[in-house]
Amino acid sequence: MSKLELKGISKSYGSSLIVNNLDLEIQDGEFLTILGPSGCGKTTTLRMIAGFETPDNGQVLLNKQDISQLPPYKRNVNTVFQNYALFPHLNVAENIAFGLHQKKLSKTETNKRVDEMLELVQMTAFKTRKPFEMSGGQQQRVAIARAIAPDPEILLLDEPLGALDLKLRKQMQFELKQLHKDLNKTFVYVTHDQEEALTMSDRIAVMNHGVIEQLSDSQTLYNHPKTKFVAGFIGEANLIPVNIANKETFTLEDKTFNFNHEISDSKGILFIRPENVSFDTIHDISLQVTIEDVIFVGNHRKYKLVTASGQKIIKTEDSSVALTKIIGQSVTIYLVPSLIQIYN
Amino acid sequence: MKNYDKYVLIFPLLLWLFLFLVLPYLFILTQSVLATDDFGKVVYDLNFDSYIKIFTNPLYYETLIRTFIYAIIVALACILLSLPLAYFIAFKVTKNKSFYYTLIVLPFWMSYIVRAYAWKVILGENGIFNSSLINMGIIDKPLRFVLYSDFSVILCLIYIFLPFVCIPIYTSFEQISKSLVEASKDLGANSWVTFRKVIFPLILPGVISGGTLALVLTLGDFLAASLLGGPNTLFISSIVQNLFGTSNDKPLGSAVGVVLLILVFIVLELSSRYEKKHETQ
Repeated sequence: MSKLELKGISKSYGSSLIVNNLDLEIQDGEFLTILGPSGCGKTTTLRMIAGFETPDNGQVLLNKQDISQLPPYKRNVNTVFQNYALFPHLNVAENIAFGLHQKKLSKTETNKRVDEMLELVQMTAFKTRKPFEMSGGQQQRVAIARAIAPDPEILLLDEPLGALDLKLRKQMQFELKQLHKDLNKTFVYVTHDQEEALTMSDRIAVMNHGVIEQLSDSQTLYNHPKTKFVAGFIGEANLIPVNIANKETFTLEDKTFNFNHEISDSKGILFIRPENVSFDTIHDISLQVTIEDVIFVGNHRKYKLVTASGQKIIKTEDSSVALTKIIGQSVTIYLVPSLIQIYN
Repeated sequence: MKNYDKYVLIFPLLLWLFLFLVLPYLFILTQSVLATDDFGKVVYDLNFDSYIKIFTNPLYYETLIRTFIYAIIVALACILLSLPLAYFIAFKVTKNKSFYYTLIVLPFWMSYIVRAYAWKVILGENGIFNSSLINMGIIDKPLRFVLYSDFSVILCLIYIFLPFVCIPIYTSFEQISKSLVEASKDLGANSWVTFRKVIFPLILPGVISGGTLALVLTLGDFLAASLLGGPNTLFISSIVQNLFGTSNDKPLGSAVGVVLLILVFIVLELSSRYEKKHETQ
């Protein structure tokens, strides 16, 4: 069942169009991430769900009800802000109780819920602390507890881990994922960190220039990026120019290979992940290259390869595989056809 | 040697403060416990008659209390006028903020006396205020109570001390992060609840310090009362001025000054304690 639906929403500031006729359907209980570079409109999209911005066109539907014109305080969604936005004059318990007071909960119910939330984010010991007496990570836990406390239909998270250091961020990613599982709530998460998106989300919407380029689960997104932008934005990719004569073949390094695609132009871009370039597993699509350099990167090894025409290709392999190649050596590489894409 | 350098830098100021602040205060304090002879000359005879007079003669203690009440009225009025004005400039004005800010500060560039006289022109029998009301047909005869009365003095004091209150309140508003307002609305609070439960507590230190300033300045002001006050307008500072002048009772004048000073210290201490209690950083 779809929980939240964005129907053709647009938003512009002055003459710049930030969100362009965007459609998005979010399922009940889903962890959906909106991923994109800064300025792609992801935060504006989230703010339109929260009610801080009103779309110029289109509708925001929550449980099939149009909420696009409702002020934020009448929407049953809560936000975790990037800078935490804890009320500095209130202590931890009072911060968490803020939303409960607005829901007119009784004093005993409020206290019970606050204690529950403190336990959920493991902050019980900090109940009477003021925000300025806590570290960033602790403040973020309180911010999450405060947003969950009023039991919103959807939890919106606006780059909530952006200000934390790497180690803490990894830990919080795991905890947030766990929290999502325990609460069985719909999470809409906004980030520019692709790794964060890949590890946490059920589905990811990759945004660029105000539109969603691709909406799919992490694996599909990684292995079958729909557009050149997605291929380049997520992970490492070889993007190699190829010539095209018809929709059954493409030409690379003067060799023509059989490959079905949808491109009608005479030129295209071939996409393949470095780990899908192979030395030994034989496939139809093969190239003669020279090894320019071999770099050891911990758990894997990176080969810098160059073709006769000077096209550079990156290949990675597990460092547990014995190194048998030397720099300067000429080798044949094979590209796994099922993991190739060709773009305009 | 290095340690003495910093004292060299503040020595001129310390000397200045000692000569023109500490010494006069000590002088006043000493004089307040002395007496006068039949000709009003201060004689060295240690006694507390002046203080006893202040707390037994209604002229003194009642005026002191009334001045304090007037000071509270001025401070509250300044706060009430500043809140919407500062809120407007901080949150609603998007361009030319500094222009509006300058408008608040502008009266500082004119002399106090000129501004006080301006009220004479406005409130006088043939002034703008009365003639406008007559022309609009609201009244037949000029209202006389508006000038040379407690009303005109308080009005002038509110006008003169408004910037002192407005500026700290405006600064407090400016320091409130927009995301706090959004967080409050996100959690279900409408604009009024957001103001009451988030914005107001956060600007309270600014309100307190601005209000304290207006309160303290009013307690010590005598110019407004002497320029715009009526025959029955009595501010405690006018009494002090009188005691040092016409009445020529310097010990009593000093004693009133000392009591006033203690009152001001109490107000400042209470206000700074309150601010410490509500620290958020």
